[in-house]
Amino acid sequence: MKPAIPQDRADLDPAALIERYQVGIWRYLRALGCDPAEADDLTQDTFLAVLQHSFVDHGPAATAAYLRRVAYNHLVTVRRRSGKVTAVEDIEQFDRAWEDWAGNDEGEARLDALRECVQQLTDRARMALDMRFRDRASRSEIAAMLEISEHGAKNLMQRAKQQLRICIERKMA
Amino acid sequence: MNGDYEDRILESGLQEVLGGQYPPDLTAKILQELDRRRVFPAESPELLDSPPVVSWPVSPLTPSVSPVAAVDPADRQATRRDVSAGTATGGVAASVRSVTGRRRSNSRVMGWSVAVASGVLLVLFAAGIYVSRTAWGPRSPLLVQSPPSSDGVPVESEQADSQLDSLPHRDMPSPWVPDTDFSSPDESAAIASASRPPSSPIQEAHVEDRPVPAEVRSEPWDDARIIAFVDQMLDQQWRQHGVTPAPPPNDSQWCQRVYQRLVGRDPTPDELRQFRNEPSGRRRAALVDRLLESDDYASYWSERWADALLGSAAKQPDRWGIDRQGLEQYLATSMQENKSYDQLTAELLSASGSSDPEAVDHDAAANFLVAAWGREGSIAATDRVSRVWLGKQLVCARCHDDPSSGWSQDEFWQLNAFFQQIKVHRGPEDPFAVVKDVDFHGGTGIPQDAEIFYRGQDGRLRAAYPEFGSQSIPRSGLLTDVHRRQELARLLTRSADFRRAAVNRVWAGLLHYGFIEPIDGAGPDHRPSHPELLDGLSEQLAAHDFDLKRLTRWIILSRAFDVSDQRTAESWMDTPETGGTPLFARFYTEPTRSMDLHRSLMLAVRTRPAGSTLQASTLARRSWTPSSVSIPQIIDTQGSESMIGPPWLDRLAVSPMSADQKVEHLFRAVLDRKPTAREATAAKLVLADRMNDHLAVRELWQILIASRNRSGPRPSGA
Repeated sequence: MKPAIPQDRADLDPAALIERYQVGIWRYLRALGCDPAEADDLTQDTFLAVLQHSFVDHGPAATAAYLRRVAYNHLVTVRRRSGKVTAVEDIEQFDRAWEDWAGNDEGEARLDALRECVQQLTDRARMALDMRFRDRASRSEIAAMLEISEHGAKNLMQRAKQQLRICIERKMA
Repeated sequence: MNGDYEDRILESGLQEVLGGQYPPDLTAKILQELDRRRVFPAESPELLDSPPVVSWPVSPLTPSVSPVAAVDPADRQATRRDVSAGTATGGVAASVRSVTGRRRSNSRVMGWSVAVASGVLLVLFAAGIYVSRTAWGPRSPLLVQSPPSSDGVPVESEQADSQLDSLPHRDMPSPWVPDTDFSSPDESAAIASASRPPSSPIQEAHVEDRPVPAEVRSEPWDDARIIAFVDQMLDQQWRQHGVTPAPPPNDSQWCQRVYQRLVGRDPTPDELRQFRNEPSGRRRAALVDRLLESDDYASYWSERWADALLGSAAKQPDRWGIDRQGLEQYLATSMQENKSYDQLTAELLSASGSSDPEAVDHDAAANFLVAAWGREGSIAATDRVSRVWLGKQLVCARCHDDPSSGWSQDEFWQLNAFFQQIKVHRGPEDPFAVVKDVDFHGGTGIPQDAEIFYRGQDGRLRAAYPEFGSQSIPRSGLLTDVHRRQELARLLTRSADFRRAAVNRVWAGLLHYGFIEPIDGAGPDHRPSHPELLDGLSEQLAAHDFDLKRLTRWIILSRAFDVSDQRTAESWMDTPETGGTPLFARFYTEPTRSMDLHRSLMLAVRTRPAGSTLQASTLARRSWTPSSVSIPQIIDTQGSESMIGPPWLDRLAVSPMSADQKVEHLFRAVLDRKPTAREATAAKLVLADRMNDHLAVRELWQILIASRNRSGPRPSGA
C-alpha cells in the first residue's frame, strides 16, 4: 500500500501525487476506451489541470475519484472536439465498476490474478485471447486460425472471459 | 450495463497482461510541462475569444496554408508540450513532426498526402480564378467586392480595406453587392441565377400590417416561489450527481460575497455592523434590495455590461472611436431607472448618432454598434449581437452550416441582412465615430427588394433577406418603409434564446460559471448544466418584464449563494475549473479584478467625497486606473500615497486599547476574522517595533490589505 499524500497544500508534493495516482488514471482511461497514446496525453492533462488549480487532499479514495473525474472531463472534451461520441453513458456506474476492479492498488492484485487465471484456460481459449489482445487479430482471423466460425470464435472468447472473471473473484476472495 | 463495463475493464486488463501495453511513468514529463507553464502561465484571453483555427475554411484564393494552422487546439497543446520536452530541435519541420506526435502517427502519411493534394488543387483553382478574372473583368460575381451605398460611396470600404490586413479573415466570404450598372451580360446572368428565396406576400406588406405572433409569456410567480424553484432544481442536480453541497457560509461571509458580486467591493465595518444589527429573518433580503438600489450597483454592473457589449474592443476603445465612459454612464443611468432588459437591448441595437459626447447628434447607446462594427462591419456586428444577446458564436456559420451553434449559413446571412441600413464613419483624425442610418439598395439596385448576396457552401451565389427565427420582415431597404434594426430588436427580444442568454449571463456574472460555458457558446455542443432551471428562470424573467434586478435578487437569495467556498469531500466532484459541469454545490471564488480592488481601496481611504455623483466617481476611477493596470501595479504604485489608511487608524493608534485589542480590531476590519495566535504575535511585534504608534498601526493595516488581496480567498471560519 503506497502512502497517502500529505494533507496540507503547502506540503503537497506534485511528484508524489503523480507517482501515487498516475497508473490508476492511465488504466482507467484505457478502460474507457483510450488507446495508449491517448491515455498518456490525457493522464498528463489531468495532472496538469489539477496541479494548476487549488488542490486539497481528502484522502486516497477521494483524490483518486477526483482525478478520475477530471480525466473523464478531459476525455469528453477531446472526444467532443474530434466529433466522436463518448462511449460511456453512465459514468457513475462505470466508476463503481472500476472501483470494484481497482481496489486500493490501481488493480495490481487483480492483474496478477488475471495472469495466473489466463494460464488456467484451455489452449484454444488462451490462443484466441492471445491473438485478440497480443496480435490484435480480427475475429475472422481468429476463426480461420482455429478453424471455427466467427460466431464460434466470439463464443469461445466470451466464455474465456467469463471463466477469467470467476477465477479472479475466487482468487481475490 | 454494469456487465458491459466490467467486460471493458477486463479487456483493458487483458491488453496489459497479454498485449504488453503497460502504463508508462509520466512523472518527469508532467513536472517539466508544469514548470514550463509556471514560466509561461496561460494563453491570452484574446486567443480564447478567437474562433478555432480549424474552423476556417481553406480559400481557393489563399496561396498556401501552413499545416500547423490546421491543427486542433488540443494538438497545439500537445505541440507545446513536446517542444518543451525537448523532442523538437527547432524549425517548422520539427514543430510539425512534434505536432503530429505519437497520437497521430497512423494518420501522418495520410495527412501529408491530403495536404499535397490540396495544394495542387489550390494552385489549379487559383489559376482558374485568374483566367476567369481576366476574361470577365474585375466585377466577376465570383469575387467579393466592396458594395456601394446609395450615394455612390463604397459601403464598408474601410473594413473592406482592413480585411486585407487581417489574414485569417481574408478567406471568409462577405456579403457581396455588385454595381447596379451591369455592363456584362455574364454578370447579369450570374445575379439572375443566384439562388434566392421565393417571393412571399410578406414582401409587400408593411410592418404594422403584418401579424406578428404574440409572445407567449408564463404567469409571473412571486419571488419566494421562484427562489424555492431555484433551490429545488439545484438540489435535484446535487442528488443526481451524488454531491452534498458545501455547508452554508456564516452571515459575515455571505454579506461580504454579496457586496463583492453586487457592488464589486468589500463591505465597510459600518456596513457589516448595520447588516448584523438587522433582524436575522429579513436582513439578507434587505441587504440585497438596498444594494440593488444603490449607485454602486449601477456603477459596477455598468462596467461589467460594457465589457460584455464591447468585447475585445473594450481593450482599445480609443482605436475604434468608442466613448466607453459615455456608454457606461448610459448603462448606469438605465440601471438606476431599472430599464427593462428588452428595452435596453432595443435601444442599443437601433441606436444611431455620434459617440462624441459634444456632438449635436450624440447618442451614447451608439457606442455599442461603433464597437461591434469594428474592422469587418456588418459581419462583425452580426457576430457581436449573437454573442451578447443570443449567447451563440456564429462566426463559423458565416462560411458553412455550423453544428456547434446549430445555425445554418443561410440563417447567418439572414441575420446579417438586418445590418445593411447602416454606415459607420470614422474620420482619420476624429477620435469618435458616427453611426448613420442609410437606405439600402440591395445587390441588384432595387431598394424595394434589397437582398444581399453571399457565396454558399457549393460556391454559388445565394441571396438573403432579413429574417430571424423564421420571422421575415419586408424586403425593402428604404428607411421610409422599414427600419431593419428596429425590427430585429423586436424579433430578437421575443426569442427564447434571448431570455436564456440573459439569464445565463447574469448567473455567470454572479456565480463565476454559467449554465452554459463558455457564456457565448450555446448550441448542441454545449448543453446547459441545469436545463430546467435555465428555462424556468428565463420564463420568469420574461414574465417579470425582463427586470434584471429581480433576476439578480432571485439568484442571490437562493441556495446558490448560500454554500461556502470550501471544497469538502462531499462536494469534491463539483469541478468546473477542470472542465466539469458546474453543480454550484460550493461557491466558486474568482480572482480579484483591478476595478474591484480599486473600489475597496478608495472606500477605505475615503477618496470618494460623500454625496459625489455617479459620474464624478466614474471619472475619478477612470483617471486613477488605466484599463491595462494590474493589481500588483495598483498596490505598488499607489502604496506610497493612497494607502495612507482610513481616518479611524489614527484614533485607533491613540486609543487606550491594549496591543491585543488593536490587533484584533485591525484583523476584524480588514479580514473580518480574529487573528490566529501566530498572527497576533507577529502583529504585536510590528506594533512594538515602531517608534510611532500612528505609523505602526498604519503599516499593519497596509500589510493586512496587501496580504488579503495577494493570497486569494481568505480563511473560512471565525
